[in-house]
Amino acid sequence: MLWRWIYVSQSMIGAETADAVVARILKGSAVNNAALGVTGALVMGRGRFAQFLEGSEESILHLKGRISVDRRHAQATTIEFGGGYQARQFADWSLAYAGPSNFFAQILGRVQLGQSQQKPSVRDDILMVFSEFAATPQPGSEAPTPAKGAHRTPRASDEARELRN
Amino acid sequence: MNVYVVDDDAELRESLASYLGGCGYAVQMFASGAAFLSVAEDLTPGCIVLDLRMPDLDGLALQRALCEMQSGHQIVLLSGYGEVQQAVRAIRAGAIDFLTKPCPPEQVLGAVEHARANLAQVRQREDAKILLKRLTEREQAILHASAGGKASKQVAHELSLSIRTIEAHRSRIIHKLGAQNFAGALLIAQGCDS
Ligand SMILES: Cc1cc2nc3c(=O)[nH]c(=O)nc-3n(C[C@H](O)[C@H](O)[C@H](O)COP(=O)(O)O)c2cc1C
Repeated sequence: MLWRWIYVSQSMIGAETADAVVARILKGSAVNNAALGVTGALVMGRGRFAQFLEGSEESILHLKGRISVDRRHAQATTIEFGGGYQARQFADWSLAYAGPSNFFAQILGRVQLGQSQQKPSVRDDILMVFSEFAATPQPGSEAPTPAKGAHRTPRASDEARELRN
Repeated sequence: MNVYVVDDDAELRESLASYLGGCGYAVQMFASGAAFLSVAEDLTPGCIVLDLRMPDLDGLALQRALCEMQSGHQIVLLSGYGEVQQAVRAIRAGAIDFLTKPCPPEQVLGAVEHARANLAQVRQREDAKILLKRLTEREQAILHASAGGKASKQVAHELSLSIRTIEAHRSRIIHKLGAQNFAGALLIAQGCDS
């Protein structure tokens, strides 16, 4: 049986260092989550994070404990937490979106941080965002292959580009 | 930058166009997705402010068609309701934003400005690609190996070439890319990667 933790939090990272800090969080998470068998996604919009994590009870509890006390964000507010899930929504772990859109800013912005209950519509929208991300393939996976003779380091710069876009 | 307002609602179309026009953009209006699509290829890449719900060809279908023809246009979608599923799909497919009507014009302007920044970035990357094509394979390898400002000595060692050869190639690279110095050439190569 799988466990899930979905939360929204307030970023405490200054705008000037955001790209570098988020890149560091992603790098560490990629290693840790793979080792724990945890999949999911992170969304970042205008000063807020939303994260979906799924895996074994033990690993979700472990990550929840660690992430909740991370000072790079605050008021991690649970949208959903618990077990009993039969199947994973996400095949892997990734940064689903980080950008300036009003759309994600609004959806994350409607969450009342620090409250144990959210309006059903607010909660549903967050869940819908993640299920839609889980359903559509990563844009990166269909990126054009670099032409012969063109040199590029794949992962690091791809990550940076996702952040900028 | 050109802005193309595509909306079947004439009143909204005109008010958006006049607002964005007042902000200094060259605005053209289209009453349907099909009308835009029929000329899309001939238009300078710009920002399309696009209504999601239109009778013939809806916003997402138009976005898909434009994606397939690699038109280079940036897209901002407008919608009457909070259609979360469509919004995520559109943004995943590369749309700048998805705004719920009625939305304050400043929000549209903000998204259009992001579109402009994106277009500039794309153009810069394309220019860099064209410049880099002028280099021979050996020159490209040297430029690549020098990323991060590595010393000639180290690059020479890595590529098993003499320092003099590296230096000679570097000055040819600077010349071909029209850069001021080798750091400038590295920046052009980097712009192509990012
Ligand atoms: C918004 C946010 C999301 C995070 N997500 C993860 C995650 O999915 N996996 C993870 O291991 N750490 C995540 N972290 C980092 C953890 O809080 C913690 O720093 C990390 O697990 C420590 O790992 P380390 O001991 O390998 O350095 C996240 C931090 C923030 C601020």
